[in-house]
Amino acid sequence: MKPYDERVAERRAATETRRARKLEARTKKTAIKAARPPRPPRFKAGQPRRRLLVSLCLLVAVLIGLLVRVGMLQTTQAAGLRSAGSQQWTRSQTVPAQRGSIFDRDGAEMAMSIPASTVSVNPKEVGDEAGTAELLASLLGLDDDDRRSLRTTLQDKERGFAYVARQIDARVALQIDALGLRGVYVAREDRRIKPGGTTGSSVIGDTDIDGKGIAGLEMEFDKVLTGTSGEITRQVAPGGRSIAGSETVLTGPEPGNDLMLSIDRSLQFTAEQGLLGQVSAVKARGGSLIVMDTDSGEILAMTSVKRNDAGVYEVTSGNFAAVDTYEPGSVAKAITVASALDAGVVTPRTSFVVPWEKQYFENDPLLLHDAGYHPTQAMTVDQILVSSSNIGTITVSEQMGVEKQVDYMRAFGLGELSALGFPGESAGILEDAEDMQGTEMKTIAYGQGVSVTAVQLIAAVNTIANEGTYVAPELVIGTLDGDGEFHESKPEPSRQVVSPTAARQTTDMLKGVVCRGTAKRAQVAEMPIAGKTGTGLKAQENGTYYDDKGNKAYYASFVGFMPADDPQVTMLISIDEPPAGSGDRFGGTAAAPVFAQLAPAVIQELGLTPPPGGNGCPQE
Amino acid sequence: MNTSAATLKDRRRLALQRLEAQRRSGLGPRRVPHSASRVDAPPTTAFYVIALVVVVFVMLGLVMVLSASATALVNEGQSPFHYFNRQLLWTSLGAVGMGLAVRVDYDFWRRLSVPMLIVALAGMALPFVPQVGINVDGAQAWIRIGPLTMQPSELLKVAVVIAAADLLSRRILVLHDSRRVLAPIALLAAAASGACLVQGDLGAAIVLGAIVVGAAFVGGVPMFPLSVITASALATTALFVVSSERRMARFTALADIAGQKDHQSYQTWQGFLSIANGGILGSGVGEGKGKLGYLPLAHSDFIFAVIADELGLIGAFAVLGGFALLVYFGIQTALAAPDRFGMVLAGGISVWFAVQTIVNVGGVTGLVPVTGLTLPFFSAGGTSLFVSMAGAGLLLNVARRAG
Repeated sequence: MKPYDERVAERRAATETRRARKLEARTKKTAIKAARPPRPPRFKAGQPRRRLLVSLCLLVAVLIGLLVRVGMLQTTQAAGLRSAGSQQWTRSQTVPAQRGSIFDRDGAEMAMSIPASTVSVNPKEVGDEAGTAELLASLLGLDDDDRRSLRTTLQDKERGFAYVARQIDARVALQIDALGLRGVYVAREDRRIKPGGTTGSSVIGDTDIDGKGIAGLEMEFDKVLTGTSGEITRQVAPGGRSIAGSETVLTGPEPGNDLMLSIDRSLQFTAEQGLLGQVSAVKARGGSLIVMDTDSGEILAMTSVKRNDAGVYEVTSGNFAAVDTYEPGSVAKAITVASALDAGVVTPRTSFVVPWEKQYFENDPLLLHDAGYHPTQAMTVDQILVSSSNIGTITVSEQMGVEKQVDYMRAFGLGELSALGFPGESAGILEDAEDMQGTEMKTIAYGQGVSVTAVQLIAAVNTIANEGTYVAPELVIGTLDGDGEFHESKPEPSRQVVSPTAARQTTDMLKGVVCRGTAKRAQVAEMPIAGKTGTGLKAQENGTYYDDKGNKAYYASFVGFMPADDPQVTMLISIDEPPAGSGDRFGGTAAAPVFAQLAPAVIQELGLTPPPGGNGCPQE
Repeated sequence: MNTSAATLKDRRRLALQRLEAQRRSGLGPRRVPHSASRVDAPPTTAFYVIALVVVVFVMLGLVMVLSASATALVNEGQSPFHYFNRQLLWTSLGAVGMGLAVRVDYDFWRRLSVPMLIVALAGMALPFVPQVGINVDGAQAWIRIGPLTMQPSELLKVAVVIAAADLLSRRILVLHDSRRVLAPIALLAAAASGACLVQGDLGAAIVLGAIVVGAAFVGGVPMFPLSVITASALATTALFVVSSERRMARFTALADIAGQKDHQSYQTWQGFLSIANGGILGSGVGEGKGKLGYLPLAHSDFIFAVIADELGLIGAFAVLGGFALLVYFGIQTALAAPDRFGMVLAGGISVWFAVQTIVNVGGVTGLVPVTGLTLPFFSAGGTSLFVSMAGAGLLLNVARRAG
């Protein structure tokens, strides 16, 4: 046994060793890290302070750069961008002015615009085609076909615009607008209506669906009636929908002026009905009628009727009384006689020997002749006119010569445009004497070889009624501006064509025409009437009076005025192509009865007082 | 004795490690915040300026959101206050978040940095969950929870800036160490930006990358490795752009904005029209035209164009100047921060706000491609506003203790 001390020392040593080992082990454990020499930093850490300041400068510099960029966009580069912008988000739109009304001489509306609405779509914007089509169709009352075509329209994404319904009742449109359907637009668009139906439509004419005059006075006075459209700008969202409240009115629309016509609406209506009745009774192609105030030339009624393709007679929207020309025939004899009287080459009692037919040119075998056979006889001028002798009238005309004949006819207003200025109005054809060929120089005396409009003819005969003074026909007596102020039309100058004496002498003869001549059927009780019939031959397309089948076409007319001794009103009736074979083909049979039929209404409407002594015709 | 000296050092190291572990797991003794004594000191100028700028921005943003969205909403048949009300709700939530971020000592947030990062990164996967995720304009970056939509990448911004600041301040002595600092930093940037790129959200990826790189820069990471990280991040971004025809077209359209105005650069062109319409004095609040429906996202990504339109160059100056103030006083706060964490945090947040503003306004003004990024504090968008306010709160938190 080892001594205690030794053992203690051993134990201690062992403990020491154990501890040392333990420590060594532990030291070793940690020393793995500690022992590894710290790796020398390859890169140096930055100084935060300096780096913060660098960041600050960099970032603020970029922010300043952005501000500069914004400033450039808002100043130096702004002009082009701004105009591109306003082009994109504002729309300017014209606001159509309300079209003026057309009144008759008493202020009764003959044509007027009433508020209506138009529904349109932008198929590109419509999302639910089927639903939109269904809703619109049911509100607008469309039938199945229209419904299908509407749906097809909505599905056509190439289109940016299509009408659905135009000028419909504003209340229906309001309902549609209230639905707020995408791509469906409702806009105000006035509708043009004629409260009197077709009454006066020959004169008034028509507007197209866009409210622009395309015929008649609507066309002639389109500028006056249209007014000045206004302009508004509005802001639109993409796709064109307006932003509520963004409308800015640049200029307000100025409504068009109203027209006041010389037409008497009730007389117009009566005249139309009378003419329609006669034209359909004689089965003619059409007809015209004009009623004119003798003193002023104001036209109180003016109408044209025609048989349409369906065989129904209707008032036309074309004013053929001013547009169509025809050879007036015997009515022109009154002009010839009045001219000869004025020229002083004849008196009413001057007598000529008149054969029933005559060859005028040796190289032209054509014989001119009167309407019916009569033996060669002496005839006064009065008799020539009353019996409407062609040869007699030529004889009268020969007394003054063809140059004077043409000059007088021009003075009566033939061959030149009337003051009406009606759209499409014709000047007729009246050649100068030196340009005339062959029998034309003779036949012009009885109204063949000259073509005139009904307006020219009534104005010419009216000159005789008006004591030899020509007054221009007038349809528009004035305009009413937006303030309701009346602006009278500038009166056309009148002119003395023949002397009052010549005119009165002719009038006396024309009385005879009605009393004992060709116009007996124009007679009315209590009212003396003067007038002249005409049965003109219509020139055919081949230049002769016979068509290719050898048939003639007639133009029967009557121009008369009353009271014969103090004429107040002149009336023209013409019947276009009464059946050639019938007894109704003559002015005296086709046209004159209309005068007698309408005279009471005219007398009533104009308040004419019949002179004492009845119609002035000797009782038979 | 050599050995015993080593032992003592060892023991101290072990003790410190144990304490650190206890502290990290929350079991250790509660430490008095090192800066507690300063909390009662009057706040610095930076604190007031930042707070003022944020309050003004948020209020102006509310007005502009209303102005920019009302007309288009009415045209769609909705309440004109739809976006405004939502923004107002998020403003109050943001105010709470901002208050928490200011009042709670930032060491608390620092301790939560790793869990927050994990949660935020996990959240980035949510948009891919069916019925939760929403695809907006090609980016799978939104989720819908009840009536609210949220953008997880926004939350990631806060988590990343805290995590980066924590990492860089803890490993301050080994900033050059590739394993302990460089790799984690690169990984953080890659994870955050990568998650955004996977979502298809290039804008958020750029901002997140910028936050990490900015924090690393401010935190003192050596220049060369930082440049390498930045360069590889940029290369990845470039690859991302080139990989998609759509993105590439957006990029090339920059060269010819007027020519492509109906196609690729429609939004930018509309932005131009709005900005130009404003002029120097602006067209007046509510008077802008682009927002009528021409300018896509007028109330969110392109709200700057509406501001420049309605408030003019003056308004643009106020906004960009306000951000400059924010950056300036943010950096001042970083410079005066009481510790390294606070410094990097303040610097990172400043870089975040600045970069996001630059990318957004740069897109609106046609200098960089439009990447779908909000303007902090202004754009309609709840998450963006909430997170911006929270970030500002953290900045204020540092500013309170600075000096």
